[in-house]
This record gives sequence, C-alpha cells and structure tokens, in this order.
Amino acid sequence: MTIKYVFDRTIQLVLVIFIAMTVNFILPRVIPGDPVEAFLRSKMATSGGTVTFDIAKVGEEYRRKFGFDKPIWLQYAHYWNDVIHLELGVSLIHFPSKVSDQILNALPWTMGLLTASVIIAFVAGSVAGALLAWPQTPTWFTAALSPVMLLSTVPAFLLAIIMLWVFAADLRWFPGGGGFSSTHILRWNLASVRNIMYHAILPAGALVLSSLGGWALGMRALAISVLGEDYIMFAEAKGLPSRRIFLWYGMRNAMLPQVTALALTLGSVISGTVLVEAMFGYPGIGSLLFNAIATKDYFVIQGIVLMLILSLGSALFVIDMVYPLLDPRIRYN
Amino acid sequence: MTNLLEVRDATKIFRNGPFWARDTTTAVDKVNLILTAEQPSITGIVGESGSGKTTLAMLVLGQLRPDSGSLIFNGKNIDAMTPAERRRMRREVQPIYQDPFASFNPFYKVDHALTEPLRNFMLANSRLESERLIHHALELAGLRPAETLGRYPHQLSGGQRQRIMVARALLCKPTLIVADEPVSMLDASLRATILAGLQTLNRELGISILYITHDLTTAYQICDRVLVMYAGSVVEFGTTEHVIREPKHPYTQLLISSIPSVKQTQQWADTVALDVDQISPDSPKANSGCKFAPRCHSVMNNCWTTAPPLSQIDTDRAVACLLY
Amino acid sequence: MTHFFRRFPGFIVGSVILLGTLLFSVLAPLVTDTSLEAVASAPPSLAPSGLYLLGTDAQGRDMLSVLALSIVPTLKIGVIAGLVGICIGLTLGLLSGFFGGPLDAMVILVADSLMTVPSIAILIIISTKVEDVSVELMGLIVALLAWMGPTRTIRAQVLSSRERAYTAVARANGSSELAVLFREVLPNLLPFVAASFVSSVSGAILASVGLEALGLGAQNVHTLGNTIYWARRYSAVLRGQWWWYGPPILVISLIFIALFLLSASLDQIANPAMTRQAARKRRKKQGGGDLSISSDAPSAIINTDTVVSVRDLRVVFKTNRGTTGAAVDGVSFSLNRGECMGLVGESGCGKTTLAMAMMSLIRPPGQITSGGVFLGTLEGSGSAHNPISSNKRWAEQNILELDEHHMRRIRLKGISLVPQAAMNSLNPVMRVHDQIADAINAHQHKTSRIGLKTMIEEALTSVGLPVTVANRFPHQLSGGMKQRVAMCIATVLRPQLIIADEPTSALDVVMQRQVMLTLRKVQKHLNAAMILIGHDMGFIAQASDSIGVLYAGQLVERGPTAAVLEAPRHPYTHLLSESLPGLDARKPLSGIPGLPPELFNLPSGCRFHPRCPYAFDRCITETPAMQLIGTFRYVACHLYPKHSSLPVRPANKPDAAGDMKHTINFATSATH
Repeated sequence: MTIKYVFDRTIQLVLVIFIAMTVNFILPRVIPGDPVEAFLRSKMATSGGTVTFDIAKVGEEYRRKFGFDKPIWLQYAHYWNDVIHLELGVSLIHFPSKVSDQILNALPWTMGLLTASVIIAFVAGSVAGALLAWPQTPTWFTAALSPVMLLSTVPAFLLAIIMLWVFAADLRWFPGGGGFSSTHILRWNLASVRNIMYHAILPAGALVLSSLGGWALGMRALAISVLGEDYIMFAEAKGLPSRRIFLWYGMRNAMLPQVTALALTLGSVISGTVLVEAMFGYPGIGSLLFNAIATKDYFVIQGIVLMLILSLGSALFVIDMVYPLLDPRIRYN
Repeated sequence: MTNLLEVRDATKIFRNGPFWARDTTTAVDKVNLILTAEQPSITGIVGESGSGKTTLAMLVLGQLRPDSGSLIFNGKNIDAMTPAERRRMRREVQPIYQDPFASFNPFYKVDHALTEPLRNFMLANSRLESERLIHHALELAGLRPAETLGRYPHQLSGGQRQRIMVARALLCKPTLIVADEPVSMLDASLRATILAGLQTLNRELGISILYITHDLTTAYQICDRVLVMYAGSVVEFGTTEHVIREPKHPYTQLLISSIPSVKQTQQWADTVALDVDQISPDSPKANSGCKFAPRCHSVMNNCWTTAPPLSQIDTDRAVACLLY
Repeated sequence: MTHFFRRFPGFIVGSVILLGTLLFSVLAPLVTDTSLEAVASAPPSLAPSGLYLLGTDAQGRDMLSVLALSIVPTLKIGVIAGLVGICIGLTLGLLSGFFGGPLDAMVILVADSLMTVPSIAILIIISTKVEDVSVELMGLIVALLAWMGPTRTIRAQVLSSRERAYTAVARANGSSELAVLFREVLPNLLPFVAASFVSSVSGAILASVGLEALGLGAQNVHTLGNTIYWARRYSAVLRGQWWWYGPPILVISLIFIALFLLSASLDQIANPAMTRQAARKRRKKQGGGDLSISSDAPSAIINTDTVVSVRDLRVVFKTNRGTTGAAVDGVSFSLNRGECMGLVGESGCGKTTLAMAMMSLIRPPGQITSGGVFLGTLEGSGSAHNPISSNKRWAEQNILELDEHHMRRIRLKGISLVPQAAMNSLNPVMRVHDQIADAINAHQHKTSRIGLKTMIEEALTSVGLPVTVANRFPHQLSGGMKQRVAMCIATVLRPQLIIADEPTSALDVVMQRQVMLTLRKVQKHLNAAMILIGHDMGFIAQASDSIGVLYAGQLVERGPTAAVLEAPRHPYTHLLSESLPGLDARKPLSGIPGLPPELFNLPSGCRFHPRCPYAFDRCITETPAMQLIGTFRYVACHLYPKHSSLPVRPANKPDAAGDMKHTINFATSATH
C-alpha cells in the first residue's frame, strides 16, 4: 500500500466531508422557517399561555446569542470554527446542557447496537449467500432461508414494531423498550451487562433480521459470478478438492465486492439503526434525535447530523484502509 | 501533387489518475507517415500491443487530437480546416474495427449501420436510391442482401458482420480506409477472403488502405509498404518485400524469426537470443535512449543514451537504429 | 410473450401484488363509507368485528377505510420521488458519463458526498423546517436523495457504451455527438432506467414511511406511515391493538416485496448473464450431468508406449428447448510417450470441448454420452489407490468411468491442462507459490515445507522463471510470465499427458515462440505426451510431431506433421493450408467458401460436403469413417482408398447440396 493511495483517500475524505458539511450548513438556512421563532412559539404553547413575551424582542436576543444576525459568510466561518473545535452549541430545550454532552452520553449505546448488529448480519448474511450459491448445498437449507429473506423486505423499524408486539407485548419474553431496566443501577458488573443485553436483543434482532436477506442475496449473486471465472475452472483442472476451491478460490474473491457493498450501504444502515432506536426508546442517538425533533431542539438536531457525517466519513475511510489488506491488487500496484 | 495523408511528428500522451498524482504514457512518439494520392496503396502498420498502432489509427481517423505535431489531409492541416472540410474528411476516412460484434449497436438491426451514413452525409436522394446503394455495397462486400438485411447483429456470423462493416465503409465513398486488426477475431479460413476483398477495393476502386495489425504474415500478403512500430515509435519502414526479406532493425529481425512457418524446413531458429522476461516488458521505462535497448541483441553503449532518429537509408527505406 | 413470463416470473408476481393493492384501495371505498366525517364517528378502539372489519382506532376511525385511503398517497410519494430521481439521474448520468471532464468529476463528488450523509439526517432537517408538508412536497423532499443511485447507474452504463466500437462507428457515419448520445447510447439504457426507477420508488417509500413514523410526514393526510405514527402515539403496541398498526405494516411489506420482485426481474433483463446461470441450474435438475457411459467401447492392443487412447468419444449438448447436438462426435486417436499432437480446427469445431472431456470437466448442458479415455498407468507410480488395476503390469483404465473423487486424483497428476488465457486462470488473491503448493498438496499429502519449497523452485526454474516469482501475486507478472506459471503448475507433478489449449494465443509473436519452446523442452524432459490445440497452422507445424484435424466435432485427418502438411489427404486440410498466409511467398489469398456448420443443424453424411469441391453423391448420405491409408496416416473421406492422394481440384462447384452462402467472392464481383 503506497503513500499515494493513503494520500488519495485522505484527500477524497476531506473533500467529501467538506461538501457534506457545507450542505448541512446551507440546507437549514435555505429552507423557510425560523427555528428560534418556532421554538419560542412552541414554548409558549406548551406553557399553556402563562408565559408570554414579546417574541420579536426575545427572539432578537436569542438570534444575537446564536449568531443568526450576522451575515451568512461570517456564520459559515463560525460554523467551521465550531466544527473544528467540536463545539456543537447548547441544547435549546435542556438549556444549558451542551449538545456534545448529550451526544456523548447517547453515543456508546448506539455504537454498541450498531456494531453488534452490523457484524452479525453481514457475516451471517454473507455466509448464507455463499452457501446459496454453492451447488452442493442441501435443499433444506435453501428452503429454510427463504422466509428469512422475505422478512428482509420489511424495513427495520417496522420489523421492530412487529417484534415489540409479538415478543414484548404478547409473549412478554423481552422488555418493551429502554436500554436497561428502570429499576436497575448501572455498574461495571456482570449483572449490568446481562441487563443491557436483555434489553438489546429485540432492537438488535430487528436490525439483523431486516438486513440479513439483503446481504445474502448480494453475496449469492457475487458468488455465482465468481464461480464462472476461468481460475475456478483451472483450479478444478488442478484436481483440488471442491471445498477448497469454493472457499479459497471462490469466496475469497467474492468477498471483495461484498465489502465494497458494505461501505456503500453504511449510510442507510445507520439510518435504520436510528429509526429502530426511536421505536424502542433505546437511549442512543436515535431516541435523542426523535425527542429533539418532537421538541424542535434545533441545535441538537444539527449536532447529531454533524456527528453522523463525520463518523460515516471516517468509517468509509477505515474501510478504504482495510481494503488493501484484502485485495493484493490494490496493495501492490 | 498533394499527398493524401501526412502525419508529421505526431505525439499523443495519455494521462491517468487524479490531478494530484498524474501518470503519463506516451502512446505515440513523434511518428511520421506519408500516404501518396496518385498511387493508392495498402500500407501496413505492424506492432505488438502497446506499440501505439491503435492510437495512431485513432489520430488518423480524427478521434483523437495529437498533443504535438500535425496531421495533414489532402494538403490541409486538420486544425486549420473549416467545419465543412472537416466533415468531408470524416466521410472520406472510414474505419473498420477489430470486433465485428461490438461494432454494431445491439438495439438496432444491422440496416441501421448502413442507412445512417447515407442519411448523415446526404448521399442518397430517395428511399429507392438508398436501397440500391446499400444492395450494391453489400454485394461488393460479398454478401447477399436478402440474407443480411433485416437481421439483428447476434443473428449473423462474425464474418458476415465484418463484411457489413466493409460495405458500410464503402457506402461513404472513402478515399482512405483505416482497418484496425479487421480479421484478428475471425477464423483463419475467413481471414483470407476478407483480406482479398480489401485488396480488390484497393485495386479496383482506388481506395488507399491503412492496415493495422500485429500479424506480420497477413501484412506481408496484402501490403505494398510496411511500417514497424515499437513502444510508440517507428523503427523501420519500407516496401514489404524488403522489410520482410532483409529486416534491418533488430526488433524487426526478432519479430520475423519468431513467426512460425508451415514449411518444416524453417525451424524456429534457436540462434537468436532468447530473452527471459525478468522485467515486465509491457511498459518500457522512459529513458532518453532507444526504447528497444533492454531487449536488443546488438545493443551498444550509445543506445542507452541517444534515441536513434528515423533515418532514410535508401529510396523508400528508413530505419531508426544506431547501427545505421 | 408467454416465454417472457416464464423466464421472469418475478415480474408477474410483483405486478400482480401492486395491482392488487391498488385495486383494494379503489374498491374498498365503494364498500364502506370513507368520507372523513363518517370515518371519525365510530366508537373508538374497537377490536375487529362485523361492522368494522379492521376495528377502529383511538379516535373512532374505521381502520379498513383508513387503510384503503392511505395506500394511494404512500404510492404517490414513491412515484413522484422515483420520477424526479430518474429525470435527474438520466440527465446527469448521460451528460456526466458522455462528456466527462470537470462536469463528471463534480457530479461524482457531489453524489459521493451526499451518500456520506445518512439520508435520514438530511430529510429530518428539511422536514423539521418545513411547516406545511403536503404529499407532493414530501415526494420532492424524498427525491432530493433519490437521484444519486440512478445517476451512478446510468453514468456507469454510458461510460461502458462509450468504449464500445459502435459509438465510434456512429461517429464515422457522420453522427454528431448529441446524435450519438440520443440515438445510440440512450436506447440501450432503457432497461437500466426501468430498473433504477423501481428501486428509486422503493427507496423513496422506505424513506417517507420512516419520516412519517417519526411524525414528520404530510399533515392531515392518511398515509401508511402516518397511521403507524399515530398508533405509536397512542401506545397501540403496548395495548395490544394490533389492528391499528398490523395491517399498515403488512401492506407496506407487500409493496416492498412487489417492488423487489419487479426490480430483480428488471435487473435480469438488463443483465442477461444472470438468467443464464438460473437456466443452467434448471437444466441440471432436468437430468443432465449424469455420466452414462456405454462400456462397450472397443479396446485396443495395449502398447506400453501408448500413453492415452481416446475411443469413440461423444459429447452432446442440449438446449433448453430439448434439441441436442454432438460437439464431439466419435473421436478416436492415441498418443505415444513423448509425442506432441497438434489438434487443428476452426472455432466451434470442438477442440476445447474435447480437451474438457478428456479431463472429465464437462458440465451441463454438456454431457459425455459414449466413448472412453484410456490412460495407461504403471503400478506403483502414484496410483496405489487405484481400485481397478491391482497387479504389477501396464494397464489402461477408462478414466471416464471413475467417480469424481478418483478423477480428481488423475487431474494434474495423470492428465494436466495448460489453459488458454492464463491471465484469468490464476487466482488473483493468492501468491504464486501458494497456488503451486495447493496443487502439490492436493495430490501428495504430507510434503514437508522444505520439500515443497524445493519442488516449487525446481518447477519455476524448469519453465524459465526466476525463483523470486514465487512470492508474487499474478497481477504483478507479465502475460508471458503468467503463462509460464500456468505451465509450471501443469507440469510440477510430472503428468503423463499435457493438454495445452491454445497456450500462447494471447501473447505476442516473440513471447509466443519463447513460451512454446519452453513448453516443448519441459515436455521432452518429462517424456510426456502432449495435445497442442491451436488454429494457427504455422504454429502447430513448428511445435508438434503429429497432427489431428478436427472439423465439426469429427477427426478428419491424422498423421505425422510433415507428411500431412506437405501432402494433405483430406480436402478440408488442403483448403485450410491454402487459406493460411505464410512469409514464403506472396500469393493470392483464398478462403474456404461457406460457413462451418451449426452445432444443432449439422449436414447429413460427411459434414464437410456442402463446402467441399470434391463432393459427390456418397458424401451426402454416408458419413465417412476414419481409415488407415498409409503408415500412421488416417483420413475420413470417401475419396479413399480409391485414390492414393488428393486428385486435381474440380472446377468450382457453387451451391453444392446443402446451404452454401457467400459463394460470390471478391474477385468475380468486383467488376460491377
């Protein structure tokens, strides 16, 4: 892997993040609607009319505080300044709690759920897909897998609702939400871990089941096309055992585009996780976002989006760095 | 008398990669070529893959612009042409490509390739005339219109498709046909027919032909003159008989001695040095000397530092080698 | 038409489901009274019962009506987003792919950047800001992120068609750039446009339902997502009111399944390669692939010098319509130790099929139906596990009768293959020494690491490669080097027979000679027999000891190379030699008139008779058998043994029996 490759990828990453962040900056300011006014109005409404103030005056003060009164290019400069210092502002609702604090509290939950379900779904799905492509797979396997594939057409958050209904409300096997029991105090011990996992099973299950089929189908298609290649035929002509050919000549090559597919769909995977969390009230970024939307806590929303952009960009960068380890054609060029 | 085509010091460089890390390949390096107008001939451009022959063909066809040097068609520099003149050149210089299947748009029947030129160059005044012209061209190419028209490309054989391409070229009333490996994807027995056809076009209709190939034997059979290319430069040039019988450039000698002959009396000579490929010979590293130096059996010290120019050693004979 | 439906069942099922849901949404209002006022007047939270088939929600709405009303807006959002996405995608994809340059770079950069943002985030921001969202506006918002997929797909297709020769031909035909774009490139994009449209719709519905479930959807409209949102708001899940959220989820799932089936079948239409695989699997189930060998193949005199003897080999191919054709039809020959037979023939004559059959690598839709490949084996020479021969003598064994497990042992060790395109025959992700070690270990268990290393180094040196190659990956080697690696693998276990299938056709002439000389050297060293398949007579002439000429699946002539080429007996051999140019003299070129016969439409009697200038009546009705006409000279032609050599060629016989096309050759037609 050459310096040039790393350099190329870094430049790409920087460019892409730059554009994404700029879009993040422009978009809200372009669309009609003033967050401060909306917030103040809703504040008035929720207080039942007991608190009244001159919207214009208070609004102006807020605007000055948050810099909305300055010209747009200055706001842009401040925006980048804040980003670099990871200064995400304060929450409008839970004033004066900082946005970054809220995010940091919620992040570990999301990371745990996300990584676990992505890894399980990707690995299990790819293996299933490979087996579907192998001519010697028993038919019962294919038959057993079909309902799972069908389940994958249902979006994760809807599957979450169904699972809540069946497993939580009806059968009462699993809790109906939350990251841990409300009566449990979190500590670094086994009991806490078990409690957390007990609560994580349904959300993770929803995420895994809804994406499994997609990975399986993709891998199957890749495996079929790889099995038609000339080097498979030559491997057979060498008299190699068929399992070796399937694994080391077939799947080893089919894995590469599958990893690329993971990189490309990471964005939607994150979206799915966010929605599922919202459905379950799981204390991660998803619920944070959901509540912020409900209360129109503007800065929290923007902060979360920023963090999502950065993390997605970095995840893609990491995958780009890992890819040469898998594909020697990129490693030695 | 103006020449049909003059290629003067044409150079084409390809750039790869993002703007902060450019990789350059010099595909065609100061190539010179002259095709006369009074005697339409078949000129062969022979070289292996990577020699630049296809790029040269694209330059002649006008698909690419040279980075330096010039192309002069019928006495007029391409860059200085008016749109009308450029259009005329587009019509008069016609290609035949290597892959008979890829030359057709799978969406249309083969008729499409034949009606388009008549339409665009306004060569027919009525439907009837256009039909007549197409039938005539197909017959000249050795096809029966009834069996060919109205079919899709995948319904015809490789030989038929290539002959339709020849007919298509004829419809444009060309003065120069650039044939880039026209028979290398066809069966051996079919090649002879198509090549004989090209010869007839040259002799009977006076069309000059630029025949590009890696196969020296076919070039020997139909070309009047031959140009040998290596790594983007012309290394030898002359009448076919001379170049084949008395090759001067070491590369040409290597090429000829490698060609297997059916006559059992001529064995693949083991005397010419066998070079084991220690380095990848596909992309000779850019150095200031002769590009063939790493593989040359008569290499001298100067060869590494001085690039030999194409020098004329006889009438109609030129070699680019420091031996001469 | 029915053929289309049989091949793409997904398309039908998907469309039926979609139409069904639409029909439901249209018909249901006729059955129930679904104006909004009437809808809200029922008692709340009722479980399904007679009057309210799907119960009511917390605000007294009849769920059946709500469901019916919510289908169309949801689909509408998807369609609007899909259309907008496709329009943008088509325009940008065409312009970007076709004209390239800075426009292309910018489009790709923006598309990539937007993909880096989780779409849900952008959509949330927009939705929070917009106050009054209508269904149409929802569609447009979702469309903002629906254009990237179609753009990339269309752009990729445009880029690949730009490379194809037909766009260059169109330019040569005088078309302007725009004309090329719209008349040549665009029509081939239609299947991709359709597939992209369907997947855009699917993605759009997914995104919109997600937003609606969060409460950001269109206000005051019933959509499937909104219904779910309200169900959540009223804790319907925890209260077990499955009739509220269950049916919408079911309908959404049905819609997604339908869209998935549609897009999968559209993908297949755009990419025909996919269907071929499915067809092959189908055919496999239909009974191809079993070896049914007729074991009454004639046995020859066992000669210890004979390495391999092919007798009456027949390989048949079946189409999915049931027609069969023999690609190799009754081929018999034998090879001695150290002999190299050149197998000559044109494309489609069955050379590669023969090679595959000899290694028992024929897969459906092909099948070996009769004949045998007899390999001579000496006891103790690595075939200790051979079930058939058990005593110490020279025995021959029909390898086609072996089961797959034993056949695998024979491959590479008994018969090995040097493949045609070594570029693609080496595993791109494995180092060279691993690929050689693989082969060795599969046949010789428990070779020590030192032993392996020595074997590999020796093998590499024997084919003229430096030992450092062992550590490289295939892509780091040149074409000639890759071919040598393949040769090295094929010879490392000292096989008795080497089958070289056009081993140098992808190499340039200089490399070709070097590689071929190396292969001959190795063959001689191993004293193995070799079958050299090729179509270049000169090449075969220099590299082989004897020649076999194959035409339409049958061997028509066999004999020592020098003799056959100097005085060919079969008319085809003669015409073939004549049509190949050489460097000796410039002579007028002549081809063989007519075309090689099609596999499924073979001529009766002698397969060459439609094109043969010597053909007479017997040739049309009777297939000639291979006969011995001299020392080690065989020919399959009715002219023998009556004649002793090819007679003088009769006057050109146009349109001999059978279909003969293209009899007009250039020389005669050029006069008009």
